[in-house]
Amino acid sequence: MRLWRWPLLLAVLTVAGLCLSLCVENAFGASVGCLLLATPIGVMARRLWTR
Amino acid sequence: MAERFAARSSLSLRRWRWWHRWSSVLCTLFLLMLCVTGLPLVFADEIDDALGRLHPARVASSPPSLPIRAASVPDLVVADALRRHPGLRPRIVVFDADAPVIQLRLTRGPDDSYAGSLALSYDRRTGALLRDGEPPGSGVMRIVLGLHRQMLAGLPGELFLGAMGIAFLIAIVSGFVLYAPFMRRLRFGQIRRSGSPRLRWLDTHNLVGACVAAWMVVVGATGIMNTLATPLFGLWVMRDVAPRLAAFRTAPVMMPTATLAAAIASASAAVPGDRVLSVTFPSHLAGSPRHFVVWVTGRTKVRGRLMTPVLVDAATGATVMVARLPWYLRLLELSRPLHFGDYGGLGLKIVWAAFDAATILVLGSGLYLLFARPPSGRRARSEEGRLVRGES
Repeated sequence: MRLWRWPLLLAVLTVAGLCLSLCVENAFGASVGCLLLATPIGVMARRLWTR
Repeated sequence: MAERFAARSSLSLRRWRWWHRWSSVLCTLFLLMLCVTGLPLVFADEIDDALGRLHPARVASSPPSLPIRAASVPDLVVADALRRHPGLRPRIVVFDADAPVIQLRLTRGPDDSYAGSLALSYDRRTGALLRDGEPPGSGVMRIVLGLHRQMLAGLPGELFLGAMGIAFLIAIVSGFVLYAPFMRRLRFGQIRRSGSPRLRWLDTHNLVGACVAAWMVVVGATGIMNTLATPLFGLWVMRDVAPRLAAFRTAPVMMPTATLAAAIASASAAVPGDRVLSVTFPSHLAGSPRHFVVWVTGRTKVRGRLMTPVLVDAATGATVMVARLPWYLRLLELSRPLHFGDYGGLGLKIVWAAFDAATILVLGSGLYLLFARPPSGRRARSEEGRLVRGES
């Protein structure tokens, strides 16, 4: 994937996770939001781990 | 033409670099303090629990000190507190959203600040006294919160941190602009092991920064909004509330003759469907000397963040005014959960703490890059510059 797409994708996932976990009124929606939010941290941790 | 474009582009990059460096220099130490104090605050509820938060279910065996009548429990609680502490005045009654607990605060004078207030907690169902005094460990958390919110310096500290927040946003945006040209020739997340430690830290700084940039922007922007809370509330009171309460401005603070139960019932009827969060007693301090202020909030997830103050006559118990908050205070209320990360349970709090730790890594590596000396000598510097630009 081209360089600029990764940060943009992670930013979109973060914002989507924030919106979903804030606005959805049930535990499932909040969990999906948390999962989306956790993705940038996961990507970062994996890259640091495998450096 | 291509040379002129390259020269202009290089000048523009130098400018962005200047903004990134100096905005970071300005805010990094303060941001580090905010991130470090923010970590325990993310888990404030869990820390309260661990330090002995009240769970009425666990103390249900304690004999109720007062007769049980659900609607009148708040009044009975106030009467009991005043009997235990004669000479003090009730200031605020808070209804816990997560547990059947009523917290009451007393002060000596009606206009004293809450700083030296006495806290008592009661079982909302039975009126039994659960705790007389502050919860253990609350002093430490109050200092941590004071540092995080205003560096223990009041409104000037709050506004100063707001300015640091703006510098932080500039640093993030300029960092993002610099990210693409400096990483153009590298794969995403590549950390070059062949170069100096400085280069490895630069790659780590870029990777972590790019991953958490969106979160940092959201939490930074909502943090700036929070630093404006006091002036914005002041503006609203000055423009919308003070003119309607002008007749009472110099009036002495009255001791309510209407019951709390009547005030709560009246406010609930004025804003049907909402939940009562707290009631403040008559005072010149953030209220009125002749009225209760009943704070109500919605019951759904988002509406639960939107509070509405209802002014109730302390003599008759009749609702005088439902003071709907203006749009800028609504925006402030909606921004708060996005700053605190307290709206999605423990899972979200763990994610929030991970982002916070990653931000500490970005700030720490930024400090290292600022102070670590680049290699000396023209050739070594040229080599370093080539590697920094990703020309490995």
